[in-house]
Amino acid sequence: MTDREARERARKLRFFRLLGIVFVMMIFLLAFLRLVWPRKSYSAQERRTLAQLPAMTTENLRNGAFSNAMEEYLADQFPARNVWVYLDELRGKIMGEKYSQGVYRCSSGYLIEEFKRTDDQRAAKTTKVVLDYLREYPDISSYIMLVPNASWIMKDKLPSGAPIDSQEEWYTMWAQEVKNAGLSNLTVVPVASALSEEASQGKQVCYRTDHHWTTYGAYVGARELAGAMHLPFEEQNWKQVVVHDRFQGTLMSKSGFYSRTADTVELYLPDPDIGIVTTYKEQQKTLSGLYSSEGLTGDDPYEVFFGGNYPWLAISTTSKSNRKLLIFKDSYANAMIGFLCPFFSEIHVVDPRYYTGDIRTLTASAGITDICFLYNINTYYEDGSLSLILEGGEADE
Amino acid sequence: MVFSSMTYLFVFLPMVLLAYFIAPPRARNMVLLAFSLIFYAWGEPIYIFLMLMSITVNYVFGRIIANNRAHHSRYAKLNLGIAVGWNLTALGIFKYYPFVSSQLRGIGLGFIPGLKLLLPIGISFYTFQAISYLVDIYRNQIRVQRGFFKFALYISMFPQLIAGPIVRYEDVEKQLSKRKVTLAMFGNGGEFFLRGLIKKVLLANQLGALYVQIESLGVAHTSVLTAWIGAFAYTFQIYFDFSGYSDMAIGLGKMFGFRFPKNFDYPYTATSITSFWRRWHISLSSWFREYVYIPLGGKRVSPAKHVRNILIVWMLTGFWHGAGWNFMLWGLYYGVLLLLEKYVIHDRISSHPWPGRILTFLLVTLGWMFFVHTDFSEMLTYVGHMFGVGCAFSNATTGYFLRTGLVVLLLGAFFSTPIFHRLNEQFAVKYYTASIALRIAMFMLCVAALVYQSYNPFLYFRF
Amino acid sequence: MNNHYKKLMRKALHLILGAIGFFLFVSLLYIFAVSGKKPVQAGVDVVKGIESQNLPALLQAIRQKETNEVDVTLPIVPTTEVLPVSVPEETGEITTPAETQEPITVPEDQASPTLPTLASVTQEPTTEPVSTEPPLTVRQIRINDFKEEWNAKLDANDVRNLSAEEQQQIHALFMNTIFFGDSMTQAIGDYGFIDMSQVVYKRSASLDALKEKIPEVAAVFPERVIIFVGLNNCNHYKTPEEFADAFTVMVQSLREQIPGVSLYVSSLLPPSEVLGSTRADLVRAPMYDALLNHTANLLGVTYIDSNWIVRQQNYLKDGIHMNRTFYRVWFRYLQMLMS
Repeated sequence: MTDREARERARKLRFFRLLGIVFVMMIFLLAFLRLVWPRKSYSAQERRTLAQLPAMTTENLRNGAFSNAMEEYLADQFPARNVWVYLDELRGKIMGEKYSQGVYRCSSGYLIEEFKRTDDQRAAKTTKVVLDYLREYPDISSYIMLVPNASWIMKDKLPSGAPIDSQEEWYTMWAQEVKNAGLSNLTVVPVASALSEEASQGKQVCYRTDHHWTTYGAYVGARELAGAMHLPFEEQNWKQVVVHDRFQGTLMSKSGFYSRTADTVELYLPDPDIGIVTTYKEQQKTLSGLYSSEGLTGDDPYEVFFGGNYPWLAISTTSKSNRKLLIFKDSYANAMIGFLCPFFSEIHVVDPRYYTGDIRTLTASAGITDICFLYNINTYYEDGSLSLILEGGEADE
Repeated sequence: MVFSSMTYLFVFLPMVLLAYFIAPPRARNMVLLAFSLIFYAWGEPIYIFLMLMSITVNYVFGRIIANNRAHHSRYAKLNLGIAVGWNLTALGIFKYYPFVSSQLRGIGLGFIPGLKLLLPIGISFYTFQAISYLVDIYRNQIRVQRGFFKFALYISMFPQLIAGPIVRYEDVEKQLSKRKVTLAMFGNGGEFFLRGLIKKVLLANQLGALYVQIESLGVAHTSVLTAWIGAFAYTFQIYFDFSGYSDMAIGLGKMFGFRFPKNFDYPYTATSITSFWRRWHISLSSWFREYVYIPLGGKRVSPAKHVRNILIVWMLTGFWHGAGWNFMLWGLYYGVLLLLEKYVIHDRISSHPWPGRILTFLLVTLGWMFFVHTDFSEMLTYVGHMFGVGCAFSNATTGYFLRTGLVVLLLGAFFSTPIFHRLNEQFAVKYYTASIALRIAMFMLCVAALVYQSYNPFLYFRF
Repeated sequence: MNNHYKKLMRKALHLILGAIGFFLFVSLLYIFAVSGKKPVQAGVDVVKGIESQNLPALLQAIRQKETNEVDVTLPIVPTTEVLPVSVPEETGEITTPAETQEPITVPEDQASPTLPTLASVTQEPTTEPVSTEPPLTVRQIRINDFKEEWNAKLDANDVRNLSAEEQQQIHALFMNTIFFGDSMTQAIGDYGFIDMSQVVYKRSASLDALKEKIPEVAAVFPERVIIFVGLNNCNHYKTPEEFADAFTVMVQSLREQIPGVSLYVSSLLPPSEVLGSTRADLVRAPMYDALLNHTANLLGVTYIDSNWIVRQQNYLKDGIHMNRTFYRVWFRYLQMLMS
């Protein structure tokens, strides 16, 4: 053995010895930290409760449930868990990962949810049921507005070539389908071109980190809807209030991607002020206005609108209008309802995902003059609850 | 339990290390055995009984065969037959019965009861290990193990228990009785373990995500190039997944003083299919060579018989990987390729390694697509896409996957070659502090990736 | 050798410390990137301001508005030429193009989604103010008009189900009403006459025990509250006077918590004859009821006399609660009184 080889061998040995020490230290350090780290019960980031130490029973030991629960517990209660998640996100970013849990990391800090045409049948069924329902009320004027998501409006921000199905294609097909049904009392309110127009002028209509539209986007939507409803929308003034300027929305939670550009949440209050009272029907409570400070300060500031989604809200206003509106909606509508309040004396807001009552009784007994379906395309396409509640009524008769 | 889990890394491993090195040397085998059984029982405690039974049966038959191999060779042979039969029956029932019975019921034999059995972890590995032990005793190649617990440890040792390598008894015989761990050897084990962890967590999982994304693309988005990108991603994924696991096993073995044989030797740099199989899952291919191919006559028989032997061996190899027709197809694919190489191409290929290397890699990639699709129509669709059936050559989505997958694919290619390891070794010798720092950083990234796997937002707010 | 290991250990320690340092650095990055998600305080104040508006006053403004004449300038219809509707003068009735003898022809290109739809035009301002609900008064006078006929039907046990239309009318009528009481009230929701969201009850509760539920009633600021309680109170209150006092307290507390609410109370129904014959304490129920009637009149609470609807066959087995048929008639009766 030459001197050089001997030296190399010595260095190699030293390397492995050091590595051995470091390896043991790391494993034991983390194991120790894990032992002493305080347990958490809730993750605001993921909006779920975290797993706790599972109880050991013969049953869960036998069927292996214990080991799964244990793994979940260890991962959920890992010391400084969010920082590790963040570290992995950094790694992913460096390695060029652009997709996580159905969300794409896009340019200008946008996170955009994918649209997948997995099941056209479900949406077609929803449409059919909606049309059937509206056909029963020929005297009520009805409107349907499907709001395109960011994957349509902000498609220039998407990574080029990202395998996202075109909402535009589906929407065109759907609009044709509705038109063919030939309901004289139904107006389809298009809003995509208006939103795209605003976006191209540099206005922010979609949140960067949330799947909702911004209040400005909702304003544009309301303007289009008001046009179709013949409401004197242009006469109404609005006072803008910024309620949050570091809004990090659900898409960030969902994907684990961090967008360094925070969003701003605004409210548009009618000017001059009008009186608005909201009754949360199934919760049996009545509150003034449409907004929730609890929602605003909670994990999801978008919940500033009504504090979240509720099965049935009855909103009454001091508006002198004699029109009463029934809205079937998803959370997109939450930001928009405020814009309609000055023009209706009552607005009944039904969220089909939670509503369990009889929709036909409500329609007939509340003196409804207008019905509006307000959905974003993703939810309309994926969610079957609308057809469930509208069909449920039929089955009873 | 798998090595790349929180439970293993931060509960089991510290405990076993602590217990092992605190225990007096004589008790260490028992410590290892106890932890091995806990390790095995962790996921599916019921099958611990199968494992214990397997150990006992093989131990007893090993003794019987050893006692009779000199004088009563027929009696020894009979016992060997019974023991091997027992092992294969256990394997057959737990691994193949659900598949075979469903196939038979499919062709009208409805009276055959279907059984829903969970596959006992590692049964393919430890069964083969036991068979090799029995046969080696019968062949008088090894001495029988008289210590029951030592034998139990040989069968159930947790590092290689659930995903190999298939360790032959002669490789660890001495170490079962006497072994020494130096700090350097321990560190060397740590190096292997870390390397395996990185392969598994940082490479295989990311490549897997890429493949899954491409696999689930609708016809509207896919293209020939995209399909190939997906196939490459899977090719690298399975290599890093499997070899990463073997590395971790070897590393752990070293930490406890065992030297397991090498299981992978840069298979994707092979210049022919023959050489690929000398480098891929070496312990399995050598098992089949030793205990099936050579007993059948090997290649020292007529060409017709040789063809038969090759096809049998490769059919079995395929079937070993899983109970499904696609695995059989995959095995036969290699059988045919090897025969072609042997009888048709032979030495006609150029002496330059690159054409052979590239061709081999492409053929292996194609092979994995048979391996991964258990559903034949899906397999046909995917392989069809790779050859341009029903889709364009490339489209915008191809660009997307090229851009987002480029880093991980390049890393995959780089890590599949010995170049990286050579550089790594030189670097470690020259700048060993920096090397260690690098390893700490990589380990932290692995932990981060493991924590991120549990990142599981509750999606009620999806609406 | 020993020295050598010491050196290694020191190095290892440095490296691990370095790793911890790196981790802390990432933590800082994380805190910088992710934390500080506090909303803008000025905005929170605005929202809180809206939330803390005076609800009763707001509700009063909204409800009184409804009795006002509707502002005829709303809604505005863009052009009169395209209107495919003729509005006959004086009658205020609206007919659709199909029904008019001379439909106004609409140009082809106008027959697009921008065309005002039929229903939106139904809201077209008419010269006639939209009729609104008259102030709610109980019209005792009319009771005799139908009581006789209904009594006959009840005696014959000939009570038909509520039609879907009737059901809807009841829903519409009681949109802003809360039914409040014990198990007698619970039945209203259970039988499905009224949505559970409008029923507040506590089983087997005395009036005192019911008081804890008043905040729940108050939370929705109902326009009216209809109280319907049962025989528990005869057990709980030794004398009718005690019961009347408790009722007075409850009414006061309801009025305090829900300003402007109109209160109604249904009769305290007697037990069935079978039960009455065995339970001396329950025999006095009519005395309680009579004093309830009296107290209600004194307090300005509308007393709804429901005793006449009671028939022996409509008692449930317990002799206290009533079956569906009773409530059917009861609701028709309420409808008569209130609409």
